[in-house]
Amino acid sequence: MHTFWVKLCNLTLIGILIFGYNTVLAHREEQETAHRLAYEQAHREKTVGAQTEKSQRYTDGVYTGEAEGYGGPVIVEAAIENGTLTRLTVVSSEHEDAAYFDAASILLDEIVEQQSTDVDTVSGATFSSNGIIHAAQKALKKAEEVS
Amino acid sequence: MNSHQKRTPPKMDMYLRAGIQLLFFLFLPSAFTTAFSGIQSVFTQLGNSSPVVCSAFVTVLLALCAYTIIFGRFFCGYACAFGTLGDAVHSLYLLICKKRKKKPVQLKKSWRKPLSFLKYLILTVIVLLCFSGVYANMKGWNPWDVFSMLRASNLKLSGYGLGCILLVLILMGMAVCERFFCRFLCPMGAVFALLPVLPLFSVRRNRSSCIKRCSACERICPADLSLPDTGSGIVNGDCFQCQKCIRICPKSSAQSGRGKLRGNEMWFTLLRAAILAITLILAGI
Repeated sequence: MHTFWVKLCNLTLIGILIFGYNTVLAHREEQETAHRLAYEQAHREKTVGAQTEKSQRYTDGVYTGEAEGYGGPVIVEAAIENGTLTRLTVVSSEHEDAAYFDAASILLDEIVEQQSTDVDTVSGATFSSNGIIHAAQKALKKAEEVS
Repeated sequence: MNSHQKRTPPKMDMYLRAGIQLLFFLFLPSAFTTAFSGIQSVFTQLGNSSPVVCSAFVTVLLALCAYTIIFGRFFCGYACAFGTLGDAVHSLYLLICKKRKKKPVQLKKSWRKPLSFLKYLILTVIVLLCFSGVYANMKGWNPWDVFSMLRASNLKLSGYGLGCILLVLILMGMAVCERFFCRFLCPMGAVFALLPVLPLFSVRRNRSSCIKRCSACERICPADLSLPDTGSGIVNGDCFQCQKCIRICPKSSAQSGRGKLRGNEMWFTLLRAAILAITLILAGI
């Protein structure tokens, strides 16, 4: 029973450490966001100018792209509105492993947010990540070719 | 004497175990890699100094660890697809040796104990690689990836040469020593072995009824463990809960469960398997 308590203490300690680590990081992030907001407020005029300048690379419409994931093809659908990517959804991912694919799915939002497929793969779910990224690349390529 | 045990037909528990293993292999085969991806993602995030996110991997990891704390390493013995692969390879090897009337090669007993510390070393190395960020660029060496891809009948193995070689070496090890990978190499097993396990369902023996110099339970144990006495709270972290010792004991004195519940190991096994399956499904596998 002695070893049990020792191990339990270690485990609790690890839990507390990770929790503390997360709390510190969340606190820092909060401060940083506050700083950034203040900064952006000051430079608002400049950024507004840059925004409208964005090139109209894509033609409006809905495009699909397919690429190899972990266990088979992954098909995504990209919707383009006013020349920007507004929505990226998965149409089919039959042979993907649920947990891995879920982990990789955050890339969908990331690609839309960045307006680019130049995003890092989710560590541990490289196959599914690459499936999503490559499929999105193909869909966007179609959107580019139409114009 | 205990009358419950006598009613259980011989080998019934073997079939039960094989059946449970087969079902988990077919329907929940990726639990072990998913859980270990949890460990990897936690340390990768720590290395990037980004917050530890409770991703799908981490959820599965936490679920499996919680299960192991309560029920022991039942997952290893009954549900891990890689462990099942090892058991299958080992029995196949024994069968071939029997057919050819050859004596099966065995790993020297004096090597086994020191080798079992190797898994902690492997765990440490992988964790450090994740922390330093090197791991993300290391592709094609992981034998688990190769196994998972083969299982998903994905045969695009180019670039996985090192992983393939390691997998073949591991398969050879699995043949000559039962639970070779689990005992000596498995980094997830190392995590489980470090967890505190509640002594609720572990097997213990009633020493007073033992036959002198009989060490049947120790000899059949795939981890070469000797059973703790009834009443002692010790649970060895290396015990896979395979329960082979329960059947082999000539005096039925190796038992799990407490009080009146003793002797119902088969039902316990089924119950634990069911709880494990539910836990894994709820965790989102």
